[in-house]
Amino acid sequence: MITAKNMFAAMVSAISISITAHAAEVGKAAPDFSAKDAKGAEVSLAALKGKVVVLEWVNHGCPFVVKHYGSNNMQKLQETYTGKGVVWITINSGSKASGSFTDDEKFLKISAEKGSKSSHLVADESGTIGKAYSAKTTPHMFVINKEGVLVYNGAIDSKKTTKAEDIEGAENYVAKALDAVLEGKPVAIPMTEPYGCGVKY
Amino acid sequence: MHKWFLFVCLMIHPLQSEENGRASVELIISHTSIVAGQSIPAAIRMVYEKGWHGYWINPGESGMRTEVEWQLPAGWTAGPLQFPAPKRFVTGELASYGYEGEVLIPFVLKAPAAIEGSQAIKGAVSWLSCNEKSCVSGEATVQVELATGKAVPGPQAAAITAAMAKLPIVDKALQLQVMQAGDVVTLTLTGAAPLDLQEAEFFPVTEQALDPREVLVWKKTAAGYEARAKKNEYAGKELTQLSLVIVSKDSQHALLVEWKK
Repeated sequence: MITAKNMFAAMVSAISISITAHAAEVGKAAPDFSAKDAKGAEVSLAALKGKVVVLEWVNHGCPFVVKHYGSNNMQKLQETYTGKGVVWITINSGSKASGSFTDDEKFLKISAEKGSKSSHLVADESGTIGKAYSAKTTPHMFVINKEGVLVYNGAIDSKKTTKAEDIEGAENYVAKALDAVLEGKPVAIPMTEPYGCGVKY
Repeated sequence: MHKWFLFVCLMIHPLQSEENGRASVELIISHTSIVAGQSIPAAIRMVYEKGWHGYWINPGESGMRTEVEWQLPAGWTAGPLQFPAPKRFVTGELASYGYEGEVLIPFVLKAPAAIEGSQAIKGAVSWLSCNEKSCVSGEATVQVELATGKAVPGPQAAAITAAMAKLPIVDKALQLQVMQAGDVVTLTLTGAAPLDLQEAEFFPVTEQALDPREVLVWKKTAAGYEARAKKNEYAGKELTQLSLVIVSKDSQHALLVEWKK
């Protein structure tokens, strides 16, 4: 039997991720999206105008993600830049069949265990946000400026390995992009090829 | 008893073959004993578990090439890993290049001008294995003890020689030219080709050059062969060099052609 409550719930889940159709292109408006985060709070890119936003694609089963979380590199970046007013949104795209899917409860639990300092966790089961941004790998990082313009799309850093000891000598493109944006300067390297495990849509 | 059994198993398990990261890895050397100054063929032998694949020198849109960090005795050198021609894998929407099953990645070891006693050839291999659903990293230390004093080929010599013979050969008779207009890259091949180019498979050695999601299709022209490709979105303004590996349909012949602006 379909009760009004069930129907309402079905409608809410169907519209909980909505998106406007624009390709993610550096220098242009970042594709808007709104979604419920893992705690149930509404996250809308349009509502975040006036703030610098980071999108981070994650899959904690991926060795490249393990590199950046196991070394505390990602958490330190999250802490440093959310401390400067940046809104950091960590997204897991992937269908239930893909094996990398994380429901809200599991996503909250694993992020707490890793000491994540992200502002929002979003389980993008349908892959709608991931596809709007063409998120390819985990990690894959995006920086959006206060005007809602995409200013960085690419890798977290310059060393395509799974080894934590390579972090120190690598150039962190995300930190550089964020430093530039926060100072109102142009991003010197706005696009790089992301590296990691493929996002399993 | 159980513990003892495990202990004995660990003791007799050969040190040079390590299993993790959904693959086993081994260092194999053509000789069991060598003389000072000798150059010898060797290889990293990877065997991926069924359903899993590892990566080529250009891994494509995801993944990571296999690497070795050598810890060699003083004066020894190990040449670069020479990756054999790969296969194309498409997982999700990403295209990558790599291997499944067994692959031998040859290289050349060179002994110093003066050596004495047994020599430990040791390296830390790191790789990535992926299947349709996930990826795992592997790390293992491989080691082989080499005797010195005389040159003695070992049981692995034939396998390594065969692997080296299958490596892509630089083909000077075949010229690759590249013309660019925006995102469209027109490739031409002229000269005598020792294999059927229209049935062959093509792999870009150069990273971030061509769109890996597009498979090259070659047309016969008056001058030779022509294919249109899409520039890799991370290539920058224009390509300045491109190396392609060309593999015959029966996978028995592999050529390397190179272009520089």
